[in-house]
Amino acid sequence: MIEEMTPPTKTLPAPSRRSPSRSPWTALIWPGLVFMALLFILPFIQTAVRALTDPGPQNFAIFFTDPVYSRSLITTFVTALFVAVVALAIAYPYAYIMYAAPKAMTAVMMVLVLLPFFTSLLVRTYAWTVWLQETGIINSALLNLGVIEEPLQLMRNTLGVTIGMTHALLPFMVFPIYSSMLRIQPDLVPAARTLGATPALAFRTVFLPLSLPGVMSGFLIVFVMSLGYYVTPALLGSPRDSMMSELVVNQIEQQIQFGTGSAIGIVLLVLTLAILFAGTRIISFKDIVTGGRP
Amino acid sequence: MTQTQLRQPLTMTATGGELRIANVRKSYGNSRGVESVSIDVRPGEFLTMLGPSGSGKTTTLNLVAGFLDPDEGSITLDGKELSGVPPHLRGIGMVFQQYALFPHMTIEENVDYPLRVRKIHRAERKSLVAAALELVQLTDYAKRKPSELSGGQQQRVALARAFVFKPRLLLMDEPLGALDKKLREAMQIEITRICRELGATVVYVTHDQEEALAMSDRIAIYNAGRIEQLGTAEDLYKRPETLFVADFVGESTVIKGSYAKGALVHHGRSLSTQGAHGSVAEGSAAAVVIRPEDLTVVPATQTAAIPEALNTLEATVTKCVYLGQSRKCLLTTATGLVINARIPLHAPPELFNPGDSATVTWDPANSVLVPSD
Repeated sequence: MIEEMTPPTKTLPAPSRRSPSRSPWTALIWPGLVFMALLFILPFIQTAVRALTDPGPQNFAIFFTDPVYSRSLITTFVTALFVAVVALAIAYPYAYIMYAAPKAMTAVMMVLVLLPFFTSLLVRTYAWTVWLQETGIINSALLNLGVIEEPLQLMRNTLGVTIGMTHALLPFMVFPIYSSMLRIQPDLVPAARTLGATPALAFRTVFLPLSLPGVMSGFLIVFVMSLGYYVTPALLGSPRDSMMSELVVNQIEQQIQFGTGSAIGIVLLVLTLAILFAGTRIISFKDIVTGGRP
Repeated sequence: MTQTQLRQPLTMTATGGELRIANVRKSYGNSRGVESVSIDVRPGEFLTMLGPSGSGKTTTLNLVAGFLDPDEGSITLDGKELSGVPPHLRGIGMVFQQYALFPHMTIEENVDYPLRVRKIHRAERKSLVAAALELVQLTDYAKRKPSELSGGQQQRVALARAFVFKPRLLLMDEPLGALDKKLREAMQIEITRICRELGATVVYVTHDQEEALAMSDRIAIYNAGRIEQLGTAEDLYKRPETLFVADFVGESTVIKGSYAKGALVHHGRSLSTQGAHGSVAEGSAAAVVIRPEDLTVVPATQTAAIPEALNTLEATVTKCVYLGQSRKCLLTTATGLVINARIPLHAPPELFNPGDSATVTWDPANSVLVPSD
């Protein structure tokens, strides 16, 4: 038993006196760096160059001349915000129950929230069409029960996109919140109770503020990831309310306009980075990744 | 300014309440709980619950605080029944082992919390917080966050926060457990001082015997969910009522046997219990408890001078440790009994070398008779 528990410390290298940068383990960073340089930074530069030169910087003018693009920009941000808000509304209580529940239930809830990760996004999105389309499970059930007389428009609109994307991105909201709840010292709420706070007040003044780093980081991650989503909006969204990613695909696959497609991509990236930067004014980048204090 | 500062601590004073725990029972499944615990804590008293971990002392504290409800029995504070009253309405201050300060609030805000929750007027809150911080000597730290303070300072903040709303009762759950030994001793004095100044009724939980002896008016010794004995430090040391208390509080030599006709029969040897504290039934299993300072060790060659009335046992020295003011020696008898004695530094050298033969002697009036199992 004891043997089983000790090995992790045994296999760890002894703390080196040398500075981390000179440790031989630092070499392990290179494959990652090369990978990023070849497959991300290089293509990114190519894209930026293409956006400016194919045929020229006027590629960006499309946002001012064609209302489809400026509208899509708004649609994209509104949808992403909507998804993040809905995901937060579902994830916070979910994470709290996971936190407060007995161990066995926590494990079940953890698997349930991870399940979407184990199936392909495409399959999941098609599965939603089975539920949401006019002849889908929900509509036929409601029609049969006589609750509605005509099928509801559940997809091919922002509602469908929000449902699909919220489902796909929920784990990214649940886990930072849950981990930030786990870091709250367990006797703080009891302490607040002895000091005279009702359960609701103890939650609002102690538990909630201390779980906010997780909320912030989950919200930012889901929002930023939503901005670039393609498959879900393409399958569940309305062709009239395209998101930016759909416009990029349209430019490149239908119009064969690589320059314009690149320009749209660059605009989306710059805006995303701007939001991340604004986010780091409130919460440090490290906290976004780790969901709060180490 | 100096005038008000001097006067402020006085505004903190509140008379302590009277806590009565009567026949309280609490069980959880199959483990840890309490069975039939009764304690009366007098107003202004510092009462410590001492015992090994899992003996029920923290359960008792949680029952008083309101985190648990008793299965049976009653808990009253100043005559008012507490069972069924939620923790926030009990008006009891509590200090937790890990301080439990709110990390997102400053020291000042932490101490202000119970007052803010009670919607006390801002001006009054301000002066109460200032007075509380003054009493724990942390006025200069008001604007800092808890993470910027040392463990001892954090615990003082926790204490200030627990008494600032003038609770009728202060509970402390091993508040010094997380501190190192030296700081712990300083904090013992500090906490005792503050509680005396406040006149607070305090129920303190610890598993550290020295801490209990140093701080308390009375001590309740817990064992396996029950109180073995409740008394002053001297009661527990000089007049233990059970074998557990005799063994748990201080060092002692325990001689087991059966009780008959005013003597304890230990391996066929009759040891007088004439004048000993405590009584047991004739013919029952019993034990004699003797504190190290009540034992005299003499060389085996000098037994002639021992008065008739004293008990004697022959033993062999197994180990001696130099303690500065005396030597602590362990001796073993032929029956395997271990004797814990002190030998003066000026004793003859043939007394404290392993293998030396000696005779241990004591006045039966200085021993304690307790039931044995």
